[in-house]
Order: sequence, then C-alpha cells, then structure tokens
Amino acid sequence: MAHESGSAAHAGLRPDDTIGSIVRRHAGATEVLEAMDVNHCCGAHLTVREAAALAGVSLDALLAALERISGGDPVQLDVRGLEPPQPMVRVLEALDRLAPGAELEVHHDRRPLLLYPQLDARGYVHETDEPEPGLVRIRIRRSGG
Amino acid sequence: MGGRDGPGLGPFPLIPLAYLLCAAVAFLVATAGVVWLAPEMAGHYYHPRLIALTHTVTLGWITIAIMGASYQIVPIVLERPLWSARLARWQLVLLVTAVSGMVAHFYLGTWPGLTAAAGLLAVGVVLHLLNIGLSMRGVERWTFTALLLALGHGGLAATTLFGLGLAVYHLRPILPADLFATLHAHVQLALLGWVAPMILGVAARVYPMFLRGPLPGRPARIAQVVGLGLGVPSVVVGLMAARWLLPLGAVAVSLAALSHAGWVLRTTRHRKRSRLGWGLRFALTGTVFITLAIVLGVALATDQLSGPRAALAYAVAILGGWVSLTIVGMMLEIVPFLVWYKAYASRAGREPVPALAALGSPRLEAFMYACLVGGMALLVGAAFVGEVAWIRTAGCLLLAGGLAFLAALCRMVRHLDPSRADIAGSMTAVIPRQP
Repeated sequence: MAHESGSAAHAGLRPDDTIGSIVRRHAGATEVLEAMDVNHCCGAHLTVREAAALAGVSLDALLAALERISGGDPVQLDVRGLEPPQPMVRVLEALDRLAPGAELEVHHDRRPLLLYPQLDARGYVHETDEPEPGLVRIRIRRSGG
Repeated sequence: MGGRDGPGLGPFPLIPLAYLLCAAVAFLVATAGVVWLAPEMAGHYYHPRLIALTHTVTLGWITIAIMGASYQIVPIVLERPLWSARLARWQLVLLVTAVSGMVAHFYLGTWPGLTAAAGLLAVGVVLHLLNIGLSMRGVERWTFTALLLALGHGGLAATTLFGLGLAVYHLRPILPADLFATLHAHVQLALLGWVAPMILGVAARVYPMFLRGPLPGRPARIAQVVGLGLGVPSVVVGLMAARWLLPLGAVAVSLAALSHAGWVLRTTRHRKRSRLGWGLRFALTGTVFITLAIVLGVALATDQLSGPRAALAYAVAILGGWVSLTIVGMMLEIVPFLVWYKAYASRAGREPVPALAALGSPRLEAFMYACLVGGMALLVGAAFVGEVAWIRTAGCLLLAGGLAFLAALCRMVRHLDPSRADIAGSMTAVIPRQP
C-alpha cells in the first residue's frame, strides 16, 4: 500500500509518468526496468511511453509489470489537520492523477460533505466509514473502475 | 458508494452567503446609526430611536448573520440536508422587509406599523424554526453543537414571543409583568437564550477547524450547556417574577461564558496553526470582551450597578464587543471559503486555483481591526459615562471599520465571477503541491 501524508502523490501509473518519478516512488521498480532492458538511469527523464519505445518493449507489458510492483492496494492520503479547503484540493489533485482502476483511500478528521458533490460531478464513487474515533476513511475510485 | 455519503447540499453556498451579506449591510447601517444617534445614546436607552438602532444590530446584523450560518452549519456540521432551500430564500426576503419595517417604525415612533412589521418578523422566524427543525429531524448524533443549536432556536422562539408581546403592548397593554421587566427579559432572552448558545455552538466547530486546535473537553461542554440551560430561564424568571433567582441565573450564565472563554484560550494556546489571520484575531478579541460583559452583567444582577448608563455599557460590551467582533471574525474566515467553494472547487485538482488567502485583503482587515476593536472599546466606556463627543468619536471609528468590512467582503464576492475578480496576481499563489 502506498502511504502519502498530506500530499497529492499516488502510486497509480500512467504512460506519461517519467521513469525517474516511478523509480523514486516504488521500491522494486529498478529491477523491473532492468529486467525489461529499460534504461532507468540515463533515461530517467523519459516518460514510460518513450522509454518503452526506446527499449522496444510493449507499453502495455511495461505498465503491467510496473503496476504489479506498485501493488493493487489503494493509495492512502492523510489530510487530517489541514486547514480548509486544503483537504479538498489535495484529494482532487490526487484523483486527477489516479491511474484507471486505482483506488484512493483518504484519511480525514471529519466527513467531507463539501467534497462529495465534487466527486459525484467528476464521476467518482465513494464510501465513508469511521474505523476509529477521530478517523474518517473515504475510499474513492472512478465510477465503473 | 456514491450519493449515500452526502446529505445533498442543494444550493449551498449561495443561501448562507446571501444572509451574511445582508447582515453586513445592516452592520454598516448600525455603525452609521451610532454616529447619528450619539446624543440619544447619552440619554436613557428606552428611546424609540435607540430601540431602532438596537434592532438594526440584534435583528438586521446578528440574527440574520446567525440564521445564514445555521444554513451552513446544519448541512455541513450536523450532516442533515436543508429541508427547503426555497423557504430559506423567501424567509430572507421576509426578514429583510420586516426588519426594515420595524427599524423605520421604531425610529418614527409609529406603533401600528411597528406591530405589523413585528408580526411579519414573527412569520419569518416561524419559517426559520420550521426549516431548521425539519432539517434537524433525524440528527443521528446529538453533539455539543447540535444541542446548543437546539437550545438557541428555543431561545429565538421565546425572544420572538416576548418581542411580539411588547410590540402589541403599544396598542393594547396586555403584558404578564411590568413593561421594563418584560423588556429586560426580552433583551436577556435575545442575548443569552438565542445569540450566546448559537455562538458557543458554532465556535466549538469553527475555531478548532481554522486554528487546528483541540475541541472543547467534556467539562467545558457540560458547563456551557448546563450553565445556559439553567441560567437563562433563571434570569428571565428572576427579572419578571422572583428577583432572588436573578443573581443565581447570572452566575450560571457567567460560568458558561467563562468556560467558553477558557476553552478558546486553551485551543488558541495549543493550536497547530502558527500564524493567526485577521478573522481569528477578531474572534479571539471578541472573546476578551466576554470578561467585561460578565463583570457588568453580574454587577447589574446583584445591584452593585444600576441605571441606564451601566445597562447600555453592558449591552455594548456584549452586543458590540463580544458578539459583533466574533461574527465579523467568523465571517472573515467563512465568507472566503464559501466564495472559494462556489468559484473554484469545481476546478481544483484540474487547473491552478487561487489559495484561500488570495481572497482576503490583509491591509484592509488590519485597518478594520484597529477601527472596530478601538471603536467598540471606546463605545463601552463612552456609553458608561454618557459623553456625546466620545460616543460620536467611537461611532466614526466603527463606521470606518464597517465600510472597510463591506469593502473586504465585496472584494471576496467578486471572485464569484472570476472574469471580474482581480486574480491575475493571486494565481501565482496556487495551493502548492507537496513534493
């Protein structure tokens, strides 16, 4: 599971992500890239799409291999203690970069009632529970994902 | 998943915004009224023009602002959908008409018109109580804020009933007690039964959110609910029938107010937000005036002080010092958020949006702070000694602060139409993404 505290970063992968950013975010990415002959050192500035083309491997295969090491667990985003409207902004920024099929798990200190209409309008489904006092957990994924 | 997480906010945030802006206009009118009516303020408080000014403050400014805040608090904090947005809109039209009518008729001293306007106001209040009551029906958790909101709306109903009785009294003398006893009970019901619980309840949610400080603890919550719940009826009965209850009621209410002030001090000291904005400074300064109001209130209740001068100074300390500065402060925090939400929430995450701070005007707010805090402090002293020149000076300071307040709100509201708002500079202050 990817853990992010108050940040908009995420584990979901997209073809336009750079190799460097993936290596920084995911332990084990280096081995996957080396196994597929993708240069993660000099080619760190390249996007996944460009790096796949350069190495002569299928983009889908490379993304699938990287997705495996990033895991299928939801990305966690902790926005507790942030001043309004930063929790909403952080969540929406994280969702904007969330990979198809990935899930965002937000940790909040209250039910974000103003966030829900924004999620509905953007086609996300969401579920909220309170696993412990002071922690409100919202799981968000794209509708149909 | 999906919609079942949210209560359905309806036309939020335009309804609370409309109420808050109407209230701000009334505040400006009231500050001009202090300048205009300085000679009357140096005399007895039971003067038609002073009562007109008092109702501009209590109804036009404070009540409409609190009602607007209720339409934000109920869906967001109590997680209950607003029963009828349409009713809330019509209610505002009714209230503005009724308050304008009451203030005008008080000023002119025309009692049949006053009674008609008071009747219209009572209809508006009943609509509000109906809307809030039906919205709160089915609240799952009776939190501290929910309890105080319920208590406050009970106080509003009682205040309106007493007010209606006093309005009718000018045509038919049918009061259950002496005129001044009923008048004082009406005033205390408004201050302690309606306004105080609403401010305490809203502050318990808003201050920790913006200060990032602790919520009120259990002892503070109990002291506030029990203090107001027992103290307000004791004060009212003490004023009207059993004088011995008055000091007991005053002590109970004072304990509630001190408990609130103590919690505000604690949450401010233990806050995680390092720098205080002007909105929070206003609200915290307002809390300081509670101490002054308690001293004057207890002295009046125990007959250590008496007469119109001390009573007027008490009213200014509580209505102007505590309540008004607190509401101004809360509005400086809440209005930018409501505007930001309406104008930019749908774009957030997709494109750069201005930071919340970009909607404020720190210099204007600093100017407001100096004028309003200085003006309120001066007005308490000037009302106590009954000096016209000092009352007028305080009024001028308040008027300057009121103008700056309205200007600051107008600058915020311009963002509702981003093409008209001057956001070119503020767009550089995009909410930063964490590395």
